[in-house]
Amino acid sequence: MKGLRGGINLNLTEQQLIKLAKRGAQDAMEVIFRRHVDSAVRLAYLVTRNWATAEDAVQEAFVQAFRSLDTFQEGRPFQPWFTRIVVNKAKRTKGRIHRGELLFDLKLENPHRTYAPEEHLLEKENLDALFSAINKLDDNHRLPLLLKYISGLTEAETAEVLGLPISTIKSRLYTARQRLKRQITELKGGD
Amino acid sequence: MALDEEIKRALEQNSTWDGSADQLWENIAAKLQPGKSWWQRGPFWLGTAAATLLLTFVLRTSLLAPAVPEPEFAPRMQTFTALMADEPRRVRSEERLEIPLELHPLPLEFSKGQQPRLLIWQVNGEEMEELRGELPLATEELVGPTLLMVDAPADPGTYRLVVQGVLQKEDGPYEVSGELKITVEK
Repeated sequence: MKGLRGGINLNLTEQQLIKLAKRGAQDAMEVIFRRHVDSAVRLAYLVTRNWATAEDAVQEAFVQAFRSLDTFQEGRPFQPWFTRIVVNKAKRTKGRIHRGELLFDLKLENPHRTYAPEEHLLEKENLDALFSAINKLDDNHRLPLLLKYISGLTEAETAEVLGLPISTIKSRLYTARQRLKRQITELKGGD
Repeated sequence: MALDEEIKRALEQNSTWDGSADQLWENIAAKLQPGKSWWQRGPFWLGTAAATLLLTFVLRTSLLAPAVPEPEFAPRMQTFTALMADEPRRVRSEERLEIPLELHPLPLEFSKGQQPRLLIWQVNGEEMEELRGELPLATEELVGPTLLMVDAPADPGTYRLVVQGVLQKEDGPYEVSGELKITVEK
């Protein structure tokens, strides 16, 4: 990666980039975009279960975030604030999908996924089964899991994003992991 | 492999994005282009002024004229709102509502968890919510305990009613949760 993008030093901290972006520097916005786009699209896809709508949701989320940067409190981490916007946009899209406006294209077999040759077949099957189990969790338990493992948020940040107390997030993560653990044990017991 | 790592890998392997970040950025950048100032847009402000006058006229006319049903307009509005995602349920002021509840068993270490409560968030915008009330719930209020009966707020607005907490049952603690989004109409 080059050290500069459009005159912006790529090594600038997030807070420095946000300061520049608040002044309207689109180069700084682009650097912020590139730092967060991958996890944002992954999260939106796992919420909407549709690639095209996930990209739309993320596009809308970035536009809204950059347009409302004035309301972002400097000094605070960007990721939880932005993740909340992504989650809201993705939920809206998901709602449209459930109303039949858009096609539902969740496939367990992700066409974008590739396995390295050395990966063991059993591991692949286990991870597929685990992914299937995660998708069977209700949204109350699935969403905190996605925010923790895909967005890398702490429990406190997850609580802030979902507008719930941290104790609720802790218990939901606990319940979700217990259910998944049970599924894995059953799976391994069945081998 | 530890469970944490397995969950992370299962999610990551099934959400590998193969799209174009460059294309996405182009779309975003195009939407972020600053617009020209109103005086640079030529006669646009004249149009705005005319629209304002027209709107004033229409409002005054509709306030003065007797109410006339608009059979074509109303159904179109309903179709539009039906397509809106996450759409809150429209209710009357203080209407009796039922919030479906979910129960999940917890280990004993959660026995001293927060008593179940109803949180009333007023939704003021997409990212703005204000806590308008927090009501502790008695176990007997949790009917079944799969439903919670509540009355909608009296004031018009959009609200998110959230039930959460730890319910103590004979066989141990349970996490109780439920959510209902409503719009109280005038």
